[in-house]
Amino acid sequence: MIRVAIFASAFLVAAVAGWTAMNWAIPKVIMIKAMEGLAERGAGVNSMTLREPADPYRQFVVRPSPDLLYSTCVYDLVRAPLRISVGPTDGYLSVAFFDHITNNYETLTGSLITSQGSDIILKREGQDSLFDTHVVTSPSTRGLVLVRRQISGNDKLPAMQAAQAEDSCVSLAP
Amino acid sequence: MQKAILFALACVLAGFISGAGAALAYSGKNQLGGHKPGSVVGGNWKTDFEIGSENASGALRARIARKGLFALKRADAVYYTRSTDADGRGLYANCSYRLSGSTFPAEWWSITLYDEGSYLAKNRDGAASVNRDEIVGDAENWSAIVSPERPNDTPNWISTKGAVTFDLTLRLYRPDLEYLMSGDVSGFPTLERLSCDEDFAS
Repeated sequence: MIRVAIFASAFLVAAVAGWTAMNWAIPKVIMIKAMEGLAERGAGVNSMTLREPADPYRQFVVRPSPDLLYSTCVYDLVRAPLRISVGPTDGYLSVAFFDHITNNYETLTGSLITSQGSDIILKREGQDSLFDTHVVTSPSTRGLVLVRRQISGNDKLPAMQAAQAEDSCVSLAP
Repeated sequence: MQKAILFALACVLAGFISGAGAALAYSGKNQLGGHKPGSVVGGNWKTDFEIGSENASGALRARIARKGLFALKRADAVYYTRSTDADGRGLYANCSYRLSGSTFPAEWWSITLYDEGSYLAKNRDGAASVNRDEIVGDAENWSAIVSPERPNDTPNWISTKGAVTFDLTLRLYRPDLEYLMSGDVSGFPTLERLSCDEDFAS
């Protein structure tokens, strides 16, 4: 009887460990693969990729919104901070920052971006920004910046894309 | 004694594989649903207010990584998903539904259809979603048809063509969180099944 209890306990403890390990690994692995894919199919690392509107034959991530225009920047802050610039538009606009395990650690919305100018410095802890502008500190060296713009109608798309063309992501490395 | 040790090791291995497999299966489920008030509203619209947050559990984080990567935190967006109609039945692409709603407590909203793989359904209809600015009719009492063929009587259409089963995701940008999390909300869209193809069997 004691032996059965020991075996059952071993099974349960190991099951909890397996559950925890898998839940820990999935976001890490998916984020690594997603960032690699986005960089390869875009403008590379530390550079902004201006995405076309998502449609059934052009989906760069699961559950994309066809009502949003996306720009992406896969970043690596190992050498220096980045300067992020975003073209202002009417309607919903956000600049979201994700760390290497999918946490959305910061989001700047349209009014905040407009009031503080469109330049944002992205740095990791311990790096100097040296600029008098809005500073975002990343908890990880690698991650993703995702810009979302509301489209709402094909007639507005050219104006949205003109604003999107101002989006940039530039390393401040000398 | 040696047999007992081997058996114990087999139990550990089996337990680890079972736990990991359960986590993998759980993370692949589309439907969310937290425990806080407001997590399930309007019949069967479900969300988890911890999406995108550093406080998200490992299981939720894994699920979002697979089914909603790059989701925003609740202060900026709340995502509700439903995968059943008003009578609790699954959603099938060869059936037609009426989606009826009102205004939402948010600056902007959209409702998008995703297929069983969590992607936009493969069709060229250009009707994957409806949103606040493009919905035609009374903003306080609008309706849209969700069906495989374009309806004749309304421009508000979400196409199911190319999917087998599907779900709908409601995105609320810059939402009124206090209201949503009160649990006492109204106006979320109903989803009524109108008809199905003759050869439909479910």
